[in-house]
Amino acid sequence: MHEFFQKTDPILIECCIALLSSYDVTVVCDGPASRAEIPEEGIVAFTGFTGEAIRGNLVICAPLALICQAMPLGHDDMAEEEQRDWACELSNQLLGRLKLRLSMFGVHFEMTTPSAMAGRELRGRLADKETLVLKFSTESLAFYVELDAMVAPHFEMLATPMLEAVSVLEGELLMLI
Amino acid sequence: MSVKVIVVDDSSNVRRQVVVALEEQGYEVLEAKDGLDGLEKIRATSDLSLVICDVNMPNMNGIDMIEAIRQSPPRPLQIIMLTTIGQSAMVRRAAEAGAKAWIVKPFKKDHLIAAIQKLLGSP
Repeated sequence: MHEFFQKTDPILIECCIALLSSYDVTVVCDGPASRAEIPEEGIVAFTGFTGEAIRGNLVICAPLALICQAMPLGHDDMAEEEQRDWACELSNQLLGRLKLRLSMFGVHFEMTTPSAMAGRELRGRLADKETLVLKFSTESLAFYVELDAMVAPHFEMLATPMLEAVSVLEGELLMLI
Repeated sequence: MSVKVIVVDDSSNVRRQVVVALEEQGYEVLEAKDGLDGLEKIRATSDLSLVICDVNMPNMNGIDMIEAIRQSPPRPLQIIMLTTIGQSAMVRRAAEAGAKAWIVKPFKKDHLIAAIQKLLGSP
């Protein structure tokens, strides 16, 4: 597996746990998985990214119940469109967190707008040298985060983070006046 | 007369969170689903006081939208960016285009209200 994944793996785990925690959902990482599999009703939400030396996708594959649990102002009779919308937003916020932290290591990319699909018995792609699959769980639900990336031969990450690359972190307010 | 605000975000859930938070405070809130929709509604609403906008959106992103607003005839319009992005280069670009505050999602309601009241005063 490319050095990118080895360095990104702990950052992605930290980002995912922190993101769900900010929506009052406590999760733990169960480690790498061979592929995402959601037997119950679920949602797959993906956001792409493209940079000069890297491109790929970040995918959240989760039971519908988890997406609803993490939704502020959620209610019992939410339309599927609302559920997909929130899954997209979670995917967008997770990749946003990752992008912020990777930018400190000199890794830069642009994000696409996210998309999502709902269904039953969802399966992701198999983990391989270009795909990292991580399994997470709450007390009662399991979900997966996939990161696939193609990395150019000249790609490199800084050894130590450059903190000045980032002006403001999640949940923070920066006044520009 | 209530203070009029527009929230521009492609997520209906995020728009709803902002609408609920601001209506509780007495603001009148319009919604737009992307930068293009936002630009049309901003141009069509002369008594708008504040724009709250995401960056990463389909059709037109938030930075392009506020740069387009800047090229329009000057008007007293405050701008708050509400986004997942926090990179210094992007924050600088938004500031040059007239953004007065930057909040990274997930947002705290108190931060959003504090930023609005700093820019507009209480509703």
